[in-house]
Amino acid sequence: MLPALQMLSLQQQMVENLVIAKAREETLQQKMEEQWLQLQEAANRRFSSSMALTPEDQEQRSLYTAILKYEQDDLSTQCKSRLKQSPADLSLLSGLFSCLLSHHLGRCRHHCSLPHRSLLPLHNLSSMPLAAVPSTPVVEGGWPEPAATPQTPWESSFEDLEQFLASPEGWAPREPLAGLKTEMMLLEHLRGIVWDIHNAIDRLLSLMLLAFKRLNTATSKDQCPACLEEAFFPPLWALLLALYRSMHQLHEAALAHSMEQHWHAGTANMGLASRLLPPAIATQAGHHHDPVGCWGVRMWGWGVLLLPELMVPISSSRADNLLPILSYVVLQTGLPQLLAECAALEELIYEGYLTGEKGYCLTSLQSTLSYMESLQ
Amino acid sequence: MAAGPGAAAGGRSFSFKVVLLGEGCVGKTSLVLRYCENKFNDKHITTLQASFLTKKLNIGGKRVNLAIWDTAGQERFHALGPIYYRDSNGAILVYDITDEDSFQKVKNWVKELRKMLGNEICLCIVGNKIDLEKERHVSVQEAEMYAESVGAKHYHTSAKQNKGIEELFLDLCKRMIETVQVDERARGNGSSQSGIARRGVQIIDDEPQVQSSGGCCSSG
Repeated sequence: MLPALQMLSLQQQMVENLVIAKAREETLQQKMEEQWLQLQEAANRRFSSSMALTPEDQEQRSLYTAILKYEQDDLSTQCKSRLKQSPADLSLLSGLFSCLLSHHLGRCRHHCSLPHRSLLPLHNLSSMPLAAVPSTPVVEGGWPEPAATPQTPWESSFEDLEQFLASPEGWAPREPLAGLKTEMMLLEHLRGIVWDIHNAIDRLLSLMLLAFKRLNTATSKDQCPACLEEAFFPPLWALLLALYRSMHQLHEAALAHSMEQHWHAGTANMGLASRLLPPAIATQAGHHHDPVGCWGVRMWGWGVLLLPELMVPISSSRADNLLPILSYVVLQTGLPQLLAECAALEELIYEGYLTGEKGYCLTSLQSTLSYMESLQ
Repeated sequence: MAAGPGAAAGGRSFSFKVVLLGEGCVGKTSLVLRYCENKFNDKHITTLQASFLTKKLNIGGKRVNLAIWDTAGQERFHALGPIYYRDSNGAILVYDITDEDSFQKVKNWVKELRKMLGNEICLCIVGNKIDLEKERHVSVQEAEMYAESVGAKHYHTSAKQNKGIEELFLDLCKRMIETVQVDERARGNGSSQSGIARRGVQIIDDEPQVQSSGGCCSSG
């Protein structure tokens, strides 16, 4: 009989545990609800509550509440305390941004998904495939689901996009742009997308500054857009680039032609003095060595604006030497799509960067490309 | 973003883009290196190199951030000028006082800039290398008269002896501030300008304001 008794007491204990657990859960639930209310109050305090609420205000307020909630989770708190210790550390800042954008804040991601949505309809207009958009992020907390996009056109184009992403050089559009009208529509739509992106970034930025008061210093403000861009653009970049490439098809073809023509040009033809060459090339003059790694140009395009170590060789070269060096490097990369990439960067990056060092680097690359294009 | 023109003039900061133009070897790079880093290298084999430099100034309480863009002097890159000088607030056109030809090049640049950018841009014509006064080939009178006739200011400098450079940049900054302020007044309240003029001068309020409405473009 002893085992049976034991069983019984064990069962009794389990029932008791269950009751206790349930009670605890309820308390916790209640506590969380209270917390949420408190956070909402805090958010209300942060914004003057007397004003009539525009939809933007409401959105910001609820986002702010979401951030407060999120701050109580471990990830952000860690980031924040580390940021407190070393506020000048750029990598921490970008870490914070990417974890904010990619993890918990479904609402933040809603902002990111805006440009995604507007990129989709383009597929119908453009000969470039633009379809492989990651499925719309899960939207938490009752945000309206993005309008369903028509399924038919993009099924077929997955192949195109895969092909394009796998080997952008060998990819040729299926059919040329159908006349001027399409081109105008494309341009119009592109303007809309650029506007959407600027808007989304502006909103995210002001939200970040709102949520993290520590960022409200001159240096942080300067760094914030870069960090935000770093987290914001990667999912969109392939699509945007495809679009810009289709807009710059003719220029790209001319540049590719010119690159081909001058592929065998010696360094002297580019006006490049041999003392300026990286050692590996100087010794093997005449051979087609890969200088790309030496100059870090393979990271150009998206990378150039974000990686300060790549800017050093550019802005610290004498202007008279710079263009010959860049011409040579661009020629060696054999990447005519740099043209479209620069155009995209120019329109999309934070305007404050355009007159600064990053803008100078971008301009130098652009002028090199247009110089190359003019060589025939 | 949009700083009201009525804001007190003190406590504002300005960001200006200044482009350096002129033939090769007239001393553009030396000029700006002397100004920003107080360095000079006499030899032609350059160890000191720079094509983009910045300088912060404080002029009567107004903070100015200068971004100075150097350009290539070679003739074959001349056509690339517009990419560099667009959205500039000021241009420094340098010639070598011992080289008549370099002064002619400056005249060409002036024509081009006035044609492309109108009167928005502050022009400085700079005769460099006044340490070589004995070899002068461009007369002071001619240069100054020409500058006046095109609405530019003329300066004499020597990067080698560090003469006239501080004055040049200080004067240019003052003129650029003035131009911006005149422009602002002319535009009245200048509301919702951020959407149109995406680039160019940025005026930032000293005190960061917490925006209570949506992002700055959302209401437009």
